[in-house]
Amino acid sequence: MRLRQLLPIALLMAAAPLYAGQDFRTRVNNEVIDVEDLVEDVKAELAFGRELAARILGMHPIQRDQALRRYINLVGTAVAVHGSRSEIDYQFAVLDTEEVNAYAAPGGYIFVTLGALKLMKDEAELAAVLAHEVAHVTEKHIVKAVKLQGQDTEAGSLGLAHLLGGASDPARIAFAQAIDQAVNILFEQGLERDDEYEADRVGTLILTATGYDPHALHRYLDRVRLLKGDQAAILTHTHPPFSERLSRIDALLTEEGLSDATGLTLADRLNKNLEGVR
Amino acid sequence: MKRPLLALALLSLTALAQAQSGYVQSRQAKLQKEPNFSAEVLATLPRGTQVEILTTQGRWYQVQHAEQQAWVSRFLISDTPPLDKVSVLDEQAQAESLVTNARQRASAVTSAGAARGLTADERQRASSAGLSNYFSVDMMENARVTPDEALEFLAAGGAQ
Repeated sequence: MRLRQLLPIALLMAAAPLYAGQDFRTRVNNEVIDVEDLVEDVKAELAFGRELAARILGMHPIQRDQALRRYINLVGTAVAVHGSRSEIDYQFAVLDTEEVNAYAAPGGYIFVTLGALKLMKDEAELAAVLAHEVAHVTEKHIVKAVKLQGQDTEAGSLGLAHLLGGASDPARIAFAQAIDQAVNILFEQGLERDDEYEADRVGTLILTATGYDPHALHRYLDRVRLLKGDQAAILTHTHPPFSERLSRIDALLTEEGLSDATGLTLADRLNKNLEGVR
Repeated sequence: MKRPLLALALLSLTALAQAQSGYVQSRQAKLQKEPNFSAEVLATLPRGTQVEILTTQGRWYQVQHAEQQAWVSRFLISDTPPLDKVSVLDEQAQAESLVTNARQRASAVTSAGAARGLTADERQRASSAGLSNYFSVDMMENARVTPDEALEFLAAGGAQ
Protein backbone atom coordinates (compact mmCIF):
# COMPACT_ATOMS: atom_id res chain seq x y z
CA MET A 1 0.00 0.00 0.00
CA ARG A 2 2.78 2.35 0.95
CA LEU A 3 4.62 1.44 -2.23
CA ARG A 4 1.54 2.15 -4.30
CA GLN A 5 1.31 5.56 -2.75
CA LEU A 6 4.98 6.21 -3.26
CA LEU A 7 5.20 4.99 -6.82
CA PRO A 8 3.44 7.87 -8.55
CA ILE A 9 5.50 10.33 -6.53
CA ALA A 10 8.70 8.47 -7.34
CA LEU A 11 7.84 8.34 -11.02
CA LEU A 12 7.05 12.02 -11.04
CA MET A 13 10.36 12.80 -9.36
CA ALA A 14 12.20 10.64 -11.87
CA ALA A 15 10.43 12.30 -14.77
CA ALA A 16 11.14 15.86 -13.61
CA PRO A 17 14.69 16.05 -14.97
CA LEU A 18 13.38 15.19 -18.45
CA TYR A 19 11.96 18.67 -18.66
CA ALA A 20 15.14 20.36 -17.61
CA GLY A 21 16.90 21.86 -20.56
CA GLN A 22 13.96 21.22 -22.87
CA ASP A 23 10.86 23.31 -23.28
CA PHE A 24 9.99 23.64 -19.65
CA ARG A 25 11.97 25.06 -16.77
CA THR A 26 11.35 25.05 -13.06
CA ARG A 27 11.48 28.20 -11.03
CA VAL A 28 12.58 28.37 -7.42
CA ASN A 29 8.98 28.06 -6.26
CA ASN A 30 8.58 24.93 -8.45
CA GLU A 31 6.11 26.59 -10.72
CA VAL A 32 6.62 25.12 -14.18
CA ILE A 33 6.93 27.75 -16.88
CA ASP A 34 8.30 27.72 -20.39
CA VAL A 35 11.26 29.55 -21.82
CA GLU A 36 9.05 32.09 -23.58
CA ASP A 37 7.83 33.32 -20.19
CA LEU A 38 11.43 33.77 -19.06
CA VAL A 39 12.12 35.80 -22.19
CA GLU A 40 8.98 37.88 -21.51
CA ASP A 41 10.27 38.57 -17.99
CA VAL A 42 13.53 39.86 -19.42
CA LYS A 43 11.71 42.01 -21.97
CA ALA A 44 9.61 43.52 -19.20
CA GLU A 45 12.77 44.20 -17.25
CA LEU A 46 14.46 45.89 -20.23
CA ALA A 47 11.46 48.13 -20.89
CA PHE A 48 11.21 49.07 -17.23
CA GLY A 49 14.95 49.66 -16.95
CA ARG A 50 14.94 51.96 -19.97
CA GLU A 51 12.24 54.17 -18.44
CA LEU A 52 14.06 54.25 -15.11
CA ALA A 53 17.32 55.15 -16.90
CA ALA A 54 15.50 58.06 -18.57
CA ARG A 55 14.39 59.27 -15.12
CA ILE A 56 17.92 59.00 -13.72
CA LEU A 57 19.22 60.95 -16.73
CA GLY A 58 16.47 63.51 -16.13
CA MET A 59 17.93 64.14 -12.68
CA HIS A 60 21.60 64.29 -13.65
CA PRO A 61 23.09 65.17 -17.05
CA ILE A 62 25.14 62.54 -18.86
CA GLN A 63 28.88 63.22 -19.08
CA ARG A 64 29.71 63.78 -22.75
CA ASP A 65 33.48 63.20 -22.83
CA GLN A 66 33.74 60.60 -25.61
CA ALA A 67 36.96 58.93 -24.47
CA LEU A 68 35.58 58.55 -20.96
CA ARG A 69 32.29 57.22 -22.29
CA ARG A 70 34.09 54.48 -24.24
CA TYR A 71 36.40 53.70 -21.34
CA ILE A 72 33.59 53.21 -18.83
CA ASN A 73 31.79 50.89 -21.26
CA LEU A 74 34.93 48.82 -21.85
CA VAL A 75 35.60 48.36 -18.12
CA GLY A 76 31.91 47.77 -17.34
CA THR A 77 31.33 45.27 -20.14
CA ALA A 78 34.52 43.37 -19.24
CA VAL A 79 33.10 42.98 -15.74
CA ALA A 80 29.52 42.25 -16.85
CA VAL A 81 30.46 39.34 -19.14
CA HIS A 82 31.91 37.63 -16.07
CA GLY A 83 28.56 37.93 -14.29
CA SER A 84 25.71 35.48 -14.60
CA ARG A 85 23.34 37.21 -17.02
CA SER A 86 24.65 37.08 -20.54
CA GLU A 87 21.19 37.47 -22.10
CA ILE A 88 21.22 41.24 -21.68
CA ASP A 89 23.41 43.96 -23.14
CA TYR A 90 24.81 46.26 -20.49
CA GLN A 91 25.47 49.95 -21.01
CA PHE A 92 27.32 52.32 -18.75
CA ALA A 93 27.32 56.09 -18.37
CA VAL A 94 28.94 58.73 -16.19
CA LEU A 95 26.59 61.20 -14.49
CA ASP A 96 27.94 64.73 -14.46
CA THR A 97 27.57 65.47 -10.74
CA GLU A 98 30.01 65.82 -7.85
CA GLU A 99 27.77 63.61 -5.71
CA VAL A 100 29.56 60.31 -4.94
CA ASN A 101 27.34 57.38 -5.95
CA ALA A 102 26.49 54.75 -8.54
CA TYR A 103 23.14 53.38 -9.70
CA ALA A 104 21.80 50.35 -11.51
CA ALA A 105 18.49 50.18 -13.36
CA PRO A 106 17.09 46.79 -14.36
CA GLY A 107 18.02 45.51 -17.79
CA GLY A 108 21.65 46.60 -17.50
CA TYR A 109 21.55 50.43 -17.41
CA ILE A 110 24.38 51.35 -15.06
CA PHE A 111 25.60 54.74 -13.88
CA VAL A 112 28.53 56.05 -11.89
CA THR A 113 28.92 59.70 -10.91
CA LEU A 114 31.85 61.91 -11.83
CA GLY A 115 32.33 62.60 -8.11
CA ALA A 116 32.82 58.88 -7.50
CA LEU A 117 35.24 58.56 -10.43
CA LYS A 118 37.41 61.38 -9.09
CA LEU A 119 37.70 59.57 -5.79
CA MET A 120 39.01 56.36 -7.37
CA LYS A 121 42.70 55.53 -7.35
CA ASP A 122 42.79 52.89 -10.05
CA GLU A 123 40.78 50.99 -12.67
CA ALA A 124 40.20 48.08 -10.29
CA GLU A 125 38.16 50.40 -8.03
CA LEU A 126 36.07 51.54 -11.00
CA ALA A 127 35.58 47.88 -11.99
CA ALA A 128 34.60 47.10 -8.39
CA VAL A 129 31.91 49.80 -8.23
CA LEU A 130 30.54 48.72 -11.62
CA ALA A 131 30.64 45.06 -10.50
CA HIS A 132 28.56 45.97 -7.41
CA GLU A 133 25.99 47.59 -9.72
CA VAL A 134 26.11 44.67 -12.20
CA ALA A 135 25.37 42.39 -9.21
CA HIS A 136 22.19 44.39 -8.47
CA VAL A 137 21.13 43.54 -12.04
CA THR A 138 22.19 39.86 -11.98
CA GLU A 139 20.38 39.37 -8.66
CA LYS A 140 17.35 41.39 -9.93
CA HIS A 141 17.04 43.47 -6.78
CA ILE A 142 14.88 46.27 -8.21
CA VAL A 143 12.86 43.80 -10.29
CA LYS A 144 11.99 41.91 -7.10
CA ALA A 145 11.36 45.09 -5.11
CA VAL A 146 8.69 46.29 -7.57
CA LYS A 147 7.53 42.71 -8.36
CA LEU A 148 8.08 43.15 -12.07
CA GLN A 149 7.68 40.32 -14.56
CA GLY A 150 6.34 39.65 -18.01
CA GLN A 151 3.31 37.57 -17.13
CA ASP A 152 0.71 37.74 -14.35
CA THR A 153 1.73 34.50 -12.65
CA GLU A 154 1.91 35.57 -9.04
CA ALA A 155 -0.46 37.53 -6.88
CA GLY A 156 0.65 41.12 -6.66
CA SER A 157 3.17 40.90 -9.46
CA LEU A 158 3.33 43.62 -12.06
CA GLY A 159 2.61 41.68 -15.25
CA LEU A 160 3.76 43.79 -18.13
CA ALA A 161 1.59 41.91 -20.60
CA HIS A 162 -1.43 42.86 -18.52
CA LEU A 163 -0.26 46.39 -17.94
CA LEU A 164 0.42 47.17 -21.56
CA GLY A 165 -1.82 44.70 -23.35
CA GLY A 166 -4.86 46.91 -23.24
CA ALA A 167 -2.89 50.12 -22.82
CA SER A 168 -5.61 51.17 -20.41
CA ASP A 169 -5.21 54.19 -18.19
CA PRO A 170 -5.03 52.16 -14.94
CA ALA A 171 -2.34 49.97 -16.52
CA ARG A 172 -0.21 52.92 -17.55
CA ILE A 173 -0.67 54.56 -14.18
CA ALA A 174 0.51 51.36 -12.46
CA PHE A 175 3.56 51.28 -14.71
CA ALA A 176 4.38 54.92 -13.96
CA GLN A 177 3.87 54.30 -10.24
CA ALA A 178 6.31 51.39 -10.33
CA ILE A 179 8.88 53.67 -11.98
CA ASP A 180 8.30 56.23 -9.21
CA GLN A 181 8.77 53.50 -6.64
CA ALA A 182 12.10 52.49 -8.22
CA VAL A 183 13.27 56.13 -8.31
CA ASN A 184 12.39 56.38 -4.65
CA ILE A 185 14.39 53.22 -3.87
CA LEU A 186 17.46 54.52 -5.69
CA PHE A 187 17.46 58.08 -4.34
CA GLU A 188 15.59 58.02 -1.03
CA GLN A 189 14.72 54.76 0.58
CA GLY A 190 17.50 52.42 -0.59
CA LEU A 191 17.24 48.71 -1.32
CA GLU A 192 17.00 46.11 1.44
CA ARG A 193 20.24 45.91 3.41
CA ASP A 194 20.63 42.27 2.49
CA ASP A 195 20.46 43.22 -1.20
CA GLU A 196 23.36 45.63 -0.70
CA TYR A 197 25.42 43.03 1.14
CA GLU A 198 24.67 40.57 -1.63
CA ALA A 199 25.76 43.11 -4.27
CA ASP A 200 29.04 43.63 -2.37
CA ARG A 201 29.53 39.87 -2.19
CA VAL A 202 28.58 38.96 -5.77
CA GLY A 203 30.30 42.13 -7.06
CA THR A 204 33.57 41.20 -5.38
CA LEU A 205 33.37 37.69 -6.83
CA ILE A 206 32.63 39.03 -10.33
CA LEU A 207 35.54 41.45 -9.94
CA THR A 208 37.82 38.57 -8.99
CA ALA A 209 36.62 36.38 -11.85
CA THR A 210 37.36 39.27 -14.24
CA GLY A 211 40.97 39.40 -13.05
CA TYR A 212 40.98 42.66 -11.06
CA ASP A 213 42.30 43.12 -7.52
CA PRO A 214 39.73 41.42 -5.23
CA HIS A 215 40.35 44.08 -2.55
CA ALA A 216 39.34 47.02 -4.77
CA LEU A 217 35.75 47.46 -3.51
CA HIS A 218 36.98 47.36 0.06
CA ARG A 219 39.65 49.99 -0.68
CA TYR A 220 37.17 52.30 -2.39
CA LEU A 221 34.46 52.07 0.31
CA ASP A 222 37.05 52.65 3.00
CA ARG A 223 37.89 55.95 1.28
CA VAL A 224 34.25 57.02 0.75
CA ARG A 225 33.62 56.37 4.44
CA LEU A 226 36.06 59.14 5.35
CA LEU A 227 34.47 61.81 3.14
CA LYS A 228 33.46 64.98 4.94
CA GLY A 229 30.37 67.02 4.17
CA ASP A 230 27.36 65.83 2.20
CA GLN A 231 29.10 64.66 -0.99
CA ALA A 232 28.12 61.06 -0.30
CA ALA A 233 24.89 61.87 1.54
CA ILE A 234 22.59 59.83 -0.72
CA LEU A 235 24.99 56.88 -0.81
CA THR A 236 25.22 56.94 2.97
CA HIS A 237 21.51 57.05 3.71
CA THR A 238 20.49 54.53 1.04
CA HIS A 239 23.13 51.92 1.99
CA PRO A 240 24.03 49.96 5.15
CA PRO A 241 26.80 51.34 7.40
CA PHE A 242 30.26 51.29 5.85
CA SER A 243 31.75 49.48 8.86
CA GLU A 244 29.36 46.55 8.39
CA ARG A 245 29.90 46.39 4.63
CA LEU A 246 33.69 46.46 5.06
CA SER A 247 33.74 43.74 7.68
CA ARG A 248 31.52 41.50 5.55
CA ILE A 249 33.79 41.98 2.52
CA ASP A 250 36.78 41.14 4.72
CA ALA A 251 35.07 37.95 5.87
CA LEU A 252 34.23 37.00 2.27
CA LEU A 253 37.84 37.50 1.13
CA THR A 254 39.04 35.30 3.98
CA GLU A 255 36.46 32.57 3.34
CA GLU A 256 37.24 32.49 -0.37
CA GLY A 257 41.00 32.31 0.14
CA LEU A 258 41.45 35.77 -1.37
CA SER A 259 43.02 37.63 1.56
CA ASP A 260 46.46 37.60 -0.05
CA ALA A 261 45.31 37.42 -3.65
CA THR A 262 46.24 40.16 -6.10
CA GLY A 263 44.92 41.22 -9.49
CA LEU A 264 44.96 44.00 -12.05
CA THR A 265 44.89 47.54 -10.59
CA LEU A 266 45.81 49.74 -13.60
CA ALA A 267 46.06 53.15 -11.96
CA ASP A 268 47.74 54.71 -15.00
CA ARG A 269 44.97 53.64 -17.36
CA LEU A 270 42.29 55.16 -15.11
CA ASN A 271 44.17 58.43 -14.74
CA LYS A 272 44.81 58.69 -18.47
CA ASN A 273 41.11 58.26 -19.22
CA LEU A 274 40.06 60.79 -16.59
CA GLU A 275 42.38 63.51 -17.96
CA GLY A 276 39.56 65.25 -19.81
CA VAL A 277 37.33 65.64 -16.74
CA ARG A 278 39.67 66.10 -13.78
CA MET B 1 9.93 -6.09 5.11
CA LYS B 2 10.45 -6.22 1.36
CA ARG B 3 8.11 -3.39 0.63
CA PRO B 4 9.85 -0.71 2.68
CA LEU B 5 13.16 -1.80 1.15
CA LEU B 6 11.74 -1.58 -2.32
CA ALA B 7 10.36 1.86 -1.61
CA LEU B 8 13.72 2.95 -0.27
CA ALA B 9 15.47 1.60 -3.34
CA LEU B 10 13.05 3.43 -5.61
CA LEU B 11 13.55 6.64 -3.73
CA SER B 12 17.33 6.28 -4.00
CA LEU B 13 17.01 5.68 -7.71
CA THR B 14 14.89 8.77 -8.15
CA ALA B 15 17.40 10.76 -6.14
CA LEU B 16 20.09 9.63 -8.58
CA ALA B 17 17.90 10.42 -11.55
CA GLN B 18 17.41 13.86 -10.01
CA ALA B 19 21.15 14.62 -9.77
CA GLN B 20 20.72 18.26 -10.50
CA SER B 21 22.11 19.79 -13.66
CA GLY B 22 23.63 23.23 -13.68
CA TYR B 23 24.62 25.46 -16.58
CA VAL B 24 27.40 28.02 -16.87
CA GLN B 25 25.76 31.46 -17.17
CA SER B 26 28.80 33.71 -17.48
CA ARG B 27 31.08 33.88 -20.52
CA GLN B 28 33.29 31.32 -18.80
CA ALA B 29 33.63 29.62 -15.42
CA LYS B 30 36.74 28.17 -13.87
CA LEU B 31 36.66 24.58 -12.66
CA GLN B 32 38.87 24.51 -9.57
CA LYS B 33 40.47 21.79 -7.51
CA GLU B 34 39.26 23.15 -4.15
CA PRO B 35 36.29 25.37 -3.23
CA ASN B 36 38.18 28.67 -3.23
CA PHE B 37 39.40 31.13 -5.83
CA SER B 38 43.08 30.58 -5.14
CA ALA B 39 42.84 26.83 -5.86
CA GLU B 40 44.36 25.29 -8.97
CA VAL B 41 42.29 25.83 -12.12
CA LEU B 42 41.62 22.46 -13.77
CA ALA B 43 39.61 23.70 -16.75
CA THR B 44 37.69 26.70 -18.03
CA LEU B 45 34.11 25.96 -19.05
CA PRO B 46 32.41 28.15 -21.67
CA ARG B 47 28.92 29.64 -21.29
CA GLY B 48 26.13 27.07 -21.55
CA THR B 49 28.26 24.10 -20.43
CA GLN B 50 26.17 21.55 -18.52
CA VAL B 51 27.56 20.12 -15.29
CA GLU B 52 26.10 17.69 -12.76
CA ILE B 53 25.94 19.19 -9.28
CA LEU B 54 27.16 16.70 -6.65
CA THR B 55 27.32 18.71 -3.43
CA THR B 56 27.16 22.27 -2.15
CA GLN B 57 29.70 23.84 0.15
CA GLY B 58 29.28 27.49 1.05
CA ARG B 59 29.29 29.49 -2.17
CA TRP B 60 30.63 26.58 -4.22
CA TYR B 61 29.23 23.58 -6.07
CA GLN B 62 31.17 20.35 -6.42
CA VAL B 63 30.39 19.24 -9.95
CA GLN B 64 31.02 16.37 -12.29
CA HIS B 65 32.16 17.35 -15.74
CA ALA B 66 33.88 15.24 -18.40
CA GLU B 67 34.87 12.54 -15.93
CA GLN B 68 36.39 14.92 -13.44
CA GLN B 69 35.02 16.16 -10.15
CA ALA B 70 35.89 19.72 -9.25
CA TRP B 71 34.49 22.94 -7.81
CA VAL B 72 32.82 25.91 -9.43
CA SER B 73 31.54 29.16 -7.90
CA ARG B 74 27.77 29.02 -7.42
CA PHE B 75 27.14 32.52 -8.64
CA LEU B 76 28.13 31.46 -12.18
CA ILE B 77 25.79 28.45 -12.32
CA SER B 78 22.02 28.33 -12.72
CA ASP B 79 19.56 25.47 -13.06
CA THR B 80 18.44 26.55 -16.52
CA PRO B 81 20.52 26.97 -19.69
CA PRO B 82 21.44 30.60 -20.41
CA LEU B 83 18.91 32.51 -22.51
CA ASP B 84 19.80 33.90 -25.90
CA LYS B 85 20.38 37.63 -26.07
CA VAL B 86 17.13 39.51 -25.40
CA SER B 87 16.40 42.92 -26.83
CA VAL B 88 13.24 44.97 -27.16
CA LEU B 89 14.61 47.70 -29.37
CA ASP B 90 13.71 46.05 -32.70
CA GLU B 91 10.48 44.45 -31.53
CA GLN B 92 8.28 46.89 -33.41
CA ALA B 93 9.65 45.75 -36.77
CA GLN B 94 9.31 42.12 -35.76
CA ALA B 95 5.75 42.67 -34.59
CA GLU B 96 4.78 43.99 -37.99
CA SER B 97 6.38 41.18 -39.96
CA LEU B 98 5.42 38.15 -37.84
CA VAL B 99 2.60 36.16 -39.39
CA THR B 100 3.31 32.56 -38.40
CA ASN B 101 2.59 32.07 -34.73
CA ALA B 102 -0.27 33.82 -32.99
CA ARG B 103 1.30 33.59 -29.56
CA GLN B 104 4.63 34.88 -30.82
CA ARG B 105 2.85 37.71 -32.60
CA ALA B 106 0.85 38.70 -29.53
CA SER B 107 3.94 38.48 -27.39
CA ALA B 108 5.95 40.62 -29.77
CA VAL B 109 3.23 43.26 -29.96
CA THR B 110 3.08 43.33 -26.17
CA SER B 111 6.83 43.75 -26.00
CA ALA B 112 6.78 46.46 -28.61
CA GLY B 113 4.40 48.28 -26.28
CA ALA B 114 6.77 47.50 -23.47
CA ALA B 115 9.66 48.96 -25.44
CA ARG B 116 7.76 52.21 -25.46
CA GLY B 117 6.94 51.79 -21.78
CA LEU B 118 4.85 54.90 -21.66
CA THR B 119 2.80 56.47 -24.44
CA ALA B 120 4.38 59.08 -26.70
CA ASP B 121 2.28 61.75 -24.96
CA GLU B 122 3.41 60.65 -21.54
CA ARG B 123 7.01 60.64 -22.65
CA GLN B 124 6.64 64.08 -24.14
CA ARG B 125 5.14 65.37 -20.89
CA ALA B 126 7.88 63.70 -18.82
CA SER B 127 10.56 65.19 -21.06
CA SER B 128 9.01 68.67 -21.06
CA ALA B 129 8.79 68.60 -17.28
CA GLY B 130 12.48 67.66 -17.11
CA LEU B 131 11.57 64.38 -15.44
CA SER B 132 12.95 62.04 -18.10
CA ASN B 133 15.69 62.35 -20.70
CA TYR B 134 15.30 59.86 -23.56
CA PHE B 135 17.87 61.61 -25.72
CA SER B 136 20.56 60.75 -23.16
CA VAL B 137 19.29 57.16 -22.98
CA ASP B 138 19.80 56.88 -26.75
CA MET B 139 23.27 58.34 -26.33
CA MET B 140 24.02 55.79 -23.62
CA GLU B 141 22.78 52.88 -25.75
CA ASN B 142 24.84 54.02 -28.71
CA ALA B 143 28.02 53.94 -26.62
CA ARG B 144 27.64 50.22 -25.89
CA VAL B 145 30.68 48.04 -26.68
CA THR B 146 30.77 44.34 -27.62
CA PRO B 147 32.00 41.66 -25.21
CA ASP B 148 34.89 40.91 -27.60
CA GLU B 149 36.02 44.56 -27.56
CA ALA B 150 35.86 44.57 -23.77
CA LEU B 151 37.85 41.34 -23.43
CA GLU B 152 40.50 42.61 -25.83
CA PHE B 153 40.74 45.75 -23.70
CA LEU B 154 41.05 43.60 -20.58
CA ALA B 155 43.83 41.52 -22.16
CA ALA B 156 45.65 44.73 -23.14
CA GLY B 157 45.65 45.59 -19.43
CA GLY B 158 47.39 42.31 -18.65
CA ALA B 159 44.48 39.98 -17.81
CA GLN B 160 45.25 36.28 -18.18
